[in-house]
Amino acid sequence: MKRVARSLLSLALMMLAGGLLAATLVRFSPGWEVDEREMSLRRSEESLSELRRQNSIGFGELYFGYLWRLAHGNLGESRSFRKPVSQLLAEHIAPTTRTIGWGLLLAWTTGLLIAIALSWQTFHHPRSHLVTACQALAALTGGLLLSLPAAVIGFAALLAGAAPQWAVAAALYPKVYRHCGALVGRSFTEPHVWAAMARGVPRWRILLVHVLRPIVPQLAALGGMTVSLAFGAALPVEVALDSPGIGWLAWQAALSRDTPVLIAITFLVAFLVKVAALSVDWMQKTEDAVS
Amino acid sequence: MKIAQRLSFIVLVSCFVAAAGAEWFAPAPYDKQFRDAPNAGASRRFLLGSDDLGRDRFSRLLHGARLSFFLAPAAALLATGLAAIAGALAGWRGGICDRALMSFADLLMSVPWIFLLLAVRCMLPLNTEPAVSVAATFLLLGSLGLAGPARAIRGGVSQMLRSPFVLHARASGAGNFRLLVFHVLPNLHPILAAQFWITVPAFILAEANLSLLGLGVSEPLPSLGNLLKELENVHAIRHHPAMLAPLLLLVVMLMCCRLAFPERPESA
Repeated sequence: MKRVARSLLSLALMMLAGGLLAATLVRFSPGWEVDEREMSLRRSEESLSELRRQNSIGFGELYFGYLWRLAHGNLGESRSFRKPVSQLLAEHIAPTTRTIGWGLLLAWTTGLLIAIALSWQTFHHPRSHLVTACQALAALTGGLLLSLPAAVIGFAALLAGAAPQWAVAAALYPKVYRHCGALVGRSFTEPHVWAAMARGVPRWRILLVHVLRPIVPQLAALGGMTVSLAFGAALPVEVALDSPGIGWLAWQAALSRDTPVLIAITFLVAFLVKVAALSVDWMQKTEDAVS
Repeated sequence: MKIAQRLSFIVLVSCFVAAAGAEWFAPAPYDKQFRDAPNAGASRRFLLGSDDLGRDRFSRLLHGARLSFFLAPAAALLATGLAAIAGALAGWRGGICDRALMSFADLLMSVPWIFLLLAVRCMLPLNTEPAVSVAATFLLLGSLGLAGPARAIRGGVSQMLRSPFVLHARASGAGNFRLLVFHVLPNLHPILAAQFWITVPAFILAEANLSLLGLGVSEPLPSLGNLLKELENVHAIRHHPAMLAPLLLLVVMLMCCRLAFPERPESA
């Protein structure tokens, strides 16, 4: 219970710090306190100063007002889309959720399965040329994908007529494969695995109980990390494929300097990533407590 | 040293020399327009063809490579330097200073990098002189990329402070400043070097992504990122495969970087 409270407190503090930082960024963004009406030539100096007085916001009102509105789900108004930011986020979150969800699933399935298959074969046939060739091919594919900007993977998906989730999966796969390969490979060399082999334990049991079971916490931590990577990959991919998700919205907001939208998106993504990391953390601690 | 590592070094040095000598090797200035030959194919006159504005693609590639390959290490140096200061301070002072600095690093690390870059880049003027856009892009990369290295350096400093040689120096009467400057910082060299070489390819890739999104280095200055923008027109690649040259160079450079300075998966 204490751990849960500490994690929640950490999340709340991070959100508070992020909120204050966001308010500062909005405050110093171009166009702050500038009103289109000031451009009218018909306005007198008194009228202009009155307009500026109305638009000026004090320190307390800016920060506490921002946090207060944020706590009540009011993320402000988009300057370029002329809509409430919360409405924009609600409209664009679904494609991104789908892209990231499927992308993560595809990357993890492919990366983990290939890592297990290659480590299994290396364990049983350490001197096989075929296994070495397969490992080299997997490493080369991973290295190649790791060296491509996510937007270029998006262009390739566009050329192939593939959905954005395939591009996100391709961007995530090398990281998943690389880390899973290292973890599974190392787990296979543990003495208890050799002991289980010598005792004649069935192969499926060796794999599930002796190899994979002990590395579940590390795999879970990697899972938390890939959520952040997936959001990072989704933005250029959505832009390349013109998929109207959160990443595409962030890009549009950046090009039109729509700071409230951009800050809200960054805040939302940070919140989701932090929640994913905390969930993994809780899972690991519960696991430790049980074992 | 393995053969692959040696080969990677040779390729990296060759690319570096070619990029450094862009002024001499490039057949034309990067912004010179050959108005009689827009979208020309690869030929003796234009080794990699010309772009839609009639500029020689090979010359632009050399100049773009120079920009990316020189400024990414500069940004990595800035990030590692800032991370060394923050990490050393956090590990050295401990307590509230450590918690505050590491919470800030956590805050930076919890946001996917591209969103953070976009948010901060948006605060700066978008229509700027090309040189200003270069400075803004790489200063941003350098100042926002310190979180991960700072964590690693902080870990190294805390570990070193508990090591026998520091305890011995402390027992011999060495003051805090002397301990930090003469005992801890020189021994951080391997961690700093590792962090530097990890961030260089990450920054080259980040610049490419930012420029592809139109928020990095602005035209007419070429960088690997904005040269890749040509690939937006995916169907033109079939007619002008030379458009893939910047991508090929980027992939070769990054793969060689990773082979020459390998990063252990568990340390990432």
